[in-house]
Amino acid sequence: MSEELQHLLATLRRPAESLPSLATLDENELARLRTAVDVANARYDRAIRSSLTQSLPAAVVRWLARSPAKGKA
Amino acid sequence: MSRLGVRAEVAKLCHVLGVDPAEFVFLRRLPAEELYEMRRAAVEGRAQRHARAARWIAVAARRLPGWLSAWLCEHLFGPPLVALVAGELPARLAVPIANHLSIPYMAAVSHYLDPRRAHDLIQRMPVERIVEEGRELIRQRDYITVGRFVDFLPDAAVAGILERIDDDEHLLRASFFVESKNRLDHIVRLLPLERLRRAILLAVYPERDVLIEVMSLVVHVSYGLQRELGDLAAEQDDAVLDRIVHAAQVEDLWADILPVLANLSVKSQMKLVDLPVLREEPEVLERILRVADAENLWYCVLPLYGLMREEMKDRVAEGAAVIEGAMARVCEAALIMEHWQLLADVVARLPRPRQELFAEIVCAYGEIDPDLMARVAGYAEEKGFGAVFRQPLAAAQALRADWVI
Repeated sequence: MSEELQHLLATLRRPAESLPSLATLDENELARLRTAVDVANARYDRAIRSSLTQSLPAAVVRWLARSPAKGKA
Repeated sequence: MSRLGVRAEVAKLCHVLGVDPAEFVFLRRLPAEELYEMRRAAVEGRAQRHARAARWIAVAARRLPGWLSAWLCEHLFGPPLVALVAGELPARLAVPIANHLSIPYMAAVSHYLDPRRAHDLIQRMPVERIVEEGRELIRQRDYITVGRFVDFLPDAAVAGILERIDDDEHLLRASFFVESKNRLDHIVRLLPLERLRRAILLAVYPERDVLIEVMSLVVHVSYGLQRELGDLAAEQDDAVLDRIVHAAQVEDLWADILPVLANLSVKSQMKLVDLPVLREEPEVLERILRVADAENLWYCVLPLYGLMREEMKDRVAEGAAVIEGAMARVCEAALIMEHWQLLADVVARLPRPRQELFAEIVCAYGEIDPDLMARVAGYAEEKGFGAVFRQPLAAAQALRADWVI
């Protein structure tokens, strides 16, 4: 499995078996798709962080961003 | 899923990623199910990464009156975060907040909201607000978001949106992105027939650029409605039909279109098979035959063949003859749909070795169903190549005589 494909699957948190057709894309196509996913995630995360930092004290934002919550609040 | 379905899925994935689908045309090679899975993975990943923040904000929102939470959302939190929080709140608490949000802000939140996570909220929202939000999304031409939500909206809300949108072009564009095709069929039935006819006729105007959407609608509705809408499209002048044929050819949509053609009335089918484009552009017929073979759609082509002029029939026979291994697959289609007479007419136009191959395949069926073999041999006799069946028929009769003894 190529590095690009591994990276893409890791980002999507999916096993290779659930997306078998990705292996049919060439390296260039995989790289473009992986970049699109990474850029979209970064843009989204920035939007969320910016919302939080504008509205909450910095210490609270750091605490919220620390790790995923366990169980329903 | 259909090729048109794949195109819709590519557009939806690109919508989530914020990229132009025109730059990711290569994704059309992937199955729709995997494109959907990627989109789901991207959306779920986002929700998981920010789950902690969304849950704690939801906890805080539970302690505030709806109007105050709404004010905070609209003035402090951006739509992506509010969409995540909405998925964490029980509907009874989320509805009073949503009711205090402005319609444009609600539309912006919908862009990010995963409707599966907000199913209860959508069901409990006042219909009037949903209708207003739908109109706002359409005003912004965010057809993908409308399409994603349609599966989850109550009928009253869908009917309200349909009523308030006067330009049918918007309906066509949104319908292209409806996730469940069963739901699409149901929604189409909520429309008065006259309006549906008007929408289909938009394909007549090239400047509207909705041909693909019209084709998608016709492809995805149920059998009866498909015939009605397909016949309506086929009633238009040749220029419109030429555009449909060219779109199917250029966009590689024959696999979607052939079953629709097979479902049309005989009158419409006769008009279609007589289109000059089929005679004048040999690559169109060649593509149709190759797709029919690759996608097991010979059962769609054979009835159309029966309506063709002799010159076209020769071309079909010629085109099918050069496809490696096609004979066995056409025979299979003839067997399933009882199209043997039509197939015998095709085979009569082929060279002798091909006719012998046909007889060989039919005789193999004949081992299980001797009557079928005798019947097809009769059709071959009528078409003038019965000789290829005489020897196998005699052998089969001898074998039967042995069994009797």
